[in-house]
Amino acid sequence: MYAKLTFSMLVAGMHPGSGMTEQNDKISIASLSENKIQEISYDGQETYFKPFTLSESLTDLANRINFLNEDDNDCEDGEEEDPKGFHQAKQWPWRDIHSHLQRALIEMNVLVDVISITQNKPTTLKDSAAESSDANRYLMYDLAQKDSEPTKPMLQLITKKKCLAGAAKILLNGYERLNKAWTETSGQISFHSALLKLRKCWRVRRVGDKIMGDLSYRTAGSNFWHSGAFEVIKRSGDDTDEESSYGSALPSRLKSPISVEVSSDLLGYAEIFVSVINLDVHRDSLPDDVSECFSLNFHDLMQSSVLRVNQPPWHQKLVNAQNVLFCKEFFTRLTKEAIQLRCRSLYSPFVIVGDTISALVFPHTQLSVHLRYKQKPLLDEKTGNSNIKSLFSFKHTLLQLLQKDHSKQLNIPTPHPTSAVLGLTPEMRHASIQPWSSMQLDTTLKRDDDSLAEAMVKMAKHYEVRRRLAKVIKMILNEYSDPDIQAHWLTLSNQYESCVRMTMASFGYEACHRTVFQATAMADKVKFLHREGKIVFVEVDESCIYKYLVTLISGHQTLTLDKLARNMGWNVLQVTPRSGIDFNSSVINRGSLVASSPSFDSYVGIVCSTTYQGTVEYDVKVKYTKSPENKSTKTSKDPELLAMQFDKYMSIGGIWQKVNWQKIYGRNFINKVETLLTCLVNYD
Amino acid sequence: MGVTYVSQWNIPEGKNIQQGVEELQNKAEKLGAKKCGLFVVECESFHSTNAQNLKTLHTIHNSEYPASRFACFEDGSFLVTDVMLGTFLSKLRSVWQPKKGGKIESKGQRYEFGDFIIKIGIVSMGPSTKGIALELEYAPCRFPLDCWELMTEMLHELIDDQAPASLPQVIAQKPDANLAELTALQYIRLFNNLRKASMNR
Repeated sequence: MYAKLTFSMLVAGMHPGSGMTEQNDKISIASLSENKIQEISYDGQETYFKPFTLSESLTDLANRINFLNEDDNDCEDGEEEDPKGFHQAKQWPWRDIHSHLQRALIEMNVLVDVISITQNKPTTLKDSAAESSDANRYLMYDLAQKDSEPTKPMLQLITKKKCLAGAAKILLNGYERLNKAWTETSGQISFHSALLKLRKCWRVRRVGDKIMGDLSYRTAGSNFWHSGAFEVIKRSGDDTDEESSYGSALPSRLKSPISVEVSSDLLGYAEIFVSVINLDVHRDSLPDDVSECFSLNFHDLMQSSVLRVNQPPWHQKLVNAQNVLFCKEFFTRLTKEAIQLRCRSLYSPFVIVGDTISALVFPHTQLSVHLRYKQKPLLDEKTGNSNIKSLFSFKHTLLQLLQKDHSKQLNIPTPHPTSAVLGLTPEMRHASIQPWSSMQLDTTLKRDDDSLAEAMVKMAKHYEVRRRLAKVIKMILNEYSDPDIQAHWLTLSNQYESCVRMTMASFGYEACHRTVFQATAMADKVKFLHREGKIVFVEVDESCIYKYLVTLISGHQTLTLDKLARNMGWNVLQVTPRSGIDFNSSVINRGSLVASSPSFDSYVGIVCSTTYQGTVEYDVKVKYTKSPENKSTKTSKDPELLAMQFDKYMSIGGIWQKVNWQKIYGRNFINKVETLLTCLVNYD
Repeated sequence: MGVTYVSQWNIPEGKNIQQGVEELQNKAEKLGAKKCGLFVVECESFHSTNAQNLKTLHTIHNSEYPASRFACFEDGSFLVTDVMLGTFLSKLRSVWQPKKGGKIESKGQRYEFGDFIIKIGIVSMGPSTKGIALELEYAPCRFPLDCWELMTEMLHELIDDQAPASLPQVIAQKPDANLAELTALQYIRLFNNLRKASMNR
């Protein structure tokens, strides 16, 4: 539009001038300067731009035309011819136009093609061939080719196979590489995590390029020579296969990336076996061992399979090794002490042969400590021996003592004031200025260092004494049913002392009298504490304890009789529970009671004597002061009561007569005596 | 750690010290006392170098109190120390100097007789013997006045005519003092007497 307008204006501008001049009217027309002033000089002369020549102005105008914006096809077509002439004449300035036009042409052609295609679809091959031959066509309808002729299937298969194989190879390669990298990294991680786990339970440190651990109790205060070192080794893949024989019993997931190397003398299993053997009984038939296997071993724990499964194999190995170390240390220590110990209470000195320490604590009782050390677990052996009783106190006390000793090594009391001697307790420091006598010092020092060996001897003795006491009590209970005897073992006891509380009472006469006493089994004697506060120490010999208990029984009977006689209104003339002598030499104790009937016409004398055989014998005698006439009537009345021939003695009067004890009615001795007393009173 | 009585035992006429000791030991053994080791009581005296203040310091070591040392000044003040007293005094040599012939000791047999402890010792100063010291201790009691009767009875058994008539002066003066102190003071008195006796001789 713009181009057209300018063109017409240009033509109109030309005409007025020429038209005016041809008419007669003289009109001077000075053309206005059509040209632009280039510059005005100082003298007022203006210099202009030279006006375009026709071709120049055409070029200029043509340059201003934007052909792409043109809507009109005709206009374009019309002008299409014009520039050609110019193009040939002057090539450079028309180049743009040329290219624009060419582009436009192409676009037009393409458009035309599109239109033609959309309008008429060629259906035949001929059409398409004709179209394809046309050079001016940019777009054409080309039918897609149908599948080509079938190739040979075998060849195809082979090539396919080859290609797949190649691809698979690449994939496999990649997989392998990834796998390797993964296992490497994962192995690394589990090694470190396992090491971390190990460090939670064991002391491990790095020495050079090795990882060393420490099994010893040194940090707890032990002074044992063995270093107890172990080495932690990272297990590579090859080792795992080799060691699988070792861990074959274990589930595969427990194959840890860590293996531990313990010095050869700590391998295996160890335990300390303490036994108190009764030698003379042993010789007969029934072995009466009192034994205690102990070690720091987690044998008890090991038996539970749950723990076993959850523990990594190295942990088990280290626990075993540490236990071996502990047992060795303990045994060495005990040996050292046993050599040094001059124990007055022992019947023979300690004998140390190989792995066994033994000593006689009583003439027929041997204490032996044995260090068992084997490569295989010791569990089967232990369970096999069924008549072993366990002594818990041994293990506990000895461990405690050892621990105490260890802690003493570590915890040295700080001197106060700071100038004081190091290692002395405040008590000891004050001892000098108190001042303490040598006896006080001795007792204090002794209390402080109670050696393991001494403690063990004491415990063994106590155990034996307790066993004997229990045995004797059982014997007494079996043999004597007359006074009911009850024994209560107190729970309050320690490793060196234990108590039994005993009560004696006659059946049916419990309210009458009751003998209560407490027997304490100590290390080398038995203490009897009676209700009245009397304390009797008895030797640990079984027969001694037995005799003493029998004496107590007879004493109990006498005292019960005393109470009974008083309750029944009899006059007790004399009562002696323990007089100790008798005419008969086989009697060791003689308790006696003499009582008279309320009216003083009959007397009863009862003797309860204990014999050397350990039996209680009763001897009951009766004396009458009444005239024999009355007596004879009595005898005829009740011939069973008094088996003696009254007539003969009654005439004499005042003679003690023996009562036929078997024939008197009664459930037990006291009951019989009651019957007797009742009869004698009734007699009046 | 009981009430203690210490005295010199005068040897009967015509006997030397060894025979006297044997006689006394026989008496003790006849009573039923049992031999129970040895004992020693050592006394070392120091004098001050300060000329104006001429005081004497006695230090006693009694085997009955092995961890302690006793120091006694003449004016009556008394000190119980630990075993470092000797070393300490040697450092104070400029103030306290050991007396010449200041070392005197009583050594001998120790007997136990029930609750009584009898010590029969020969007092010697260097190589020369000075006399016989008898110590009787009644272990269970801590109050001298309470058990003095019992001890006198025992002393009569042991040394019939030489038994003291009344409570010794040292004990009578301070009956509430530490028993170890009373023992030490009695020994110092005994040693002083023996020293004087030997000087006079």
